Amino acid sequence: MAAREPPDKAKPEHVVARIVRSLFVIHCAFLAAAGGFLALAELSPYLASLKAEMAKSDTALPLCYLVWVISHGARRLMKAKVAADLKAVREENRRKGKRR
Amino acid sequence: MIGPFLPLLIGIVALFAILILGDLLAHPYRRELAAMGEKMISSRHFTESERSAIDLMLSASTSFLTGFLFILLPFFFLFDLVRGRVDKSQPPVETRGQIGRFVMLAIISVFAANPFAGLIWLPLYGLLVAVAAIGHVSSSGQLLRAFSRSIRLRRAVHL
Repeated sequence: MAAREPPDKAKPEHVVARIVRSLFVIHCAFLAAAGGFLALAELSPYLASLKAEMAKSDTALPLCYLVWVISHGARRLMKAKVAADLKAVREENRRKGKRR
Repeated sequence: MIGPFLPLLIGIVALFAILILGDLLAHPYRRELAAMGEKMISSRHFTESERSAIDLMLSASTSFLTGFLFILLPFFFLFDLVRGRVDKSQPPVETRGQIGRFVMLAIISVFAANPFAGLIWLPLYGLLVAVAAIGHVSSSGQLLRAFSRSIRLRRAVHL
C-alpha cells in the first residue's frame, strides 16, 4: 500500500489555502442557498411575500449574510475540533497497529 | 426591523444547528470508525482494495460533499449487480463482521455530515440491501466498493 502520510496542514501556505477555501465555500454556499430560496419563492406564496418584503428592505440581505457567515463559521470551528480529535484517534490506533 | 425576516433568520440558524447537532451526536461513532478503520488497515485479513477503500472512507466520511455524492451510491451498486461484477466469495466470519460494522459506522458518519442528502439516499440504501440479499451478495462488501468509487469520483473532479 502506498505511504499514507497526510500533507502537513500546519504549514503557513496550507493554512492560508484552507482559509481562502473556507471563505470560498461559505460564499458559494450562501449564493446556492439564496438561489434555492428564490426558486422556492416561485412555488410558495409565503416565501414569495417574504421575498417581496426583503426586496423593500435595505438591511435584510446583509442581515441574512451575517447570520449565515456566523452560523457557517461556528460549524466550521466545530468541525475543525472534531477533525482534530478524529486525527488523534487515528494516529493513536495507527501507532498501535505498527507496534503489533 | 428584523420582524418580517425573523422566520428566515431562524431557518438559517436551524439549518446549521441541525448540522452541528448531527456532528455532535455522530462523534462517538466517528471515533469508533476511526479506531476500527486504522486497525483494519494495519490488519493482514483484508485485501489491498479493501484497505484502500477503508482509507478513503476514513478521510472523507465527515464531509458534507460526500453526503451528496452518496446519492450516486445506489447507481454504482446497481451497476455492479447488473454487470455481474460482484464478489460472491465468502470472507472469514470475523472479517465480514468487521466490514459490516465499518460500513454501518461510515453510513452514520456521512448521514450526520449531510442529513439533507441522507434523506434521499438512505431509503435507497435499504432497498439495495434487500436486492443484495436476494442476489446472495455481501451488501457491506459491495457498499464498501461503491463508497470508494464515489469518493474517488469526488477526488477526480477535485471537490
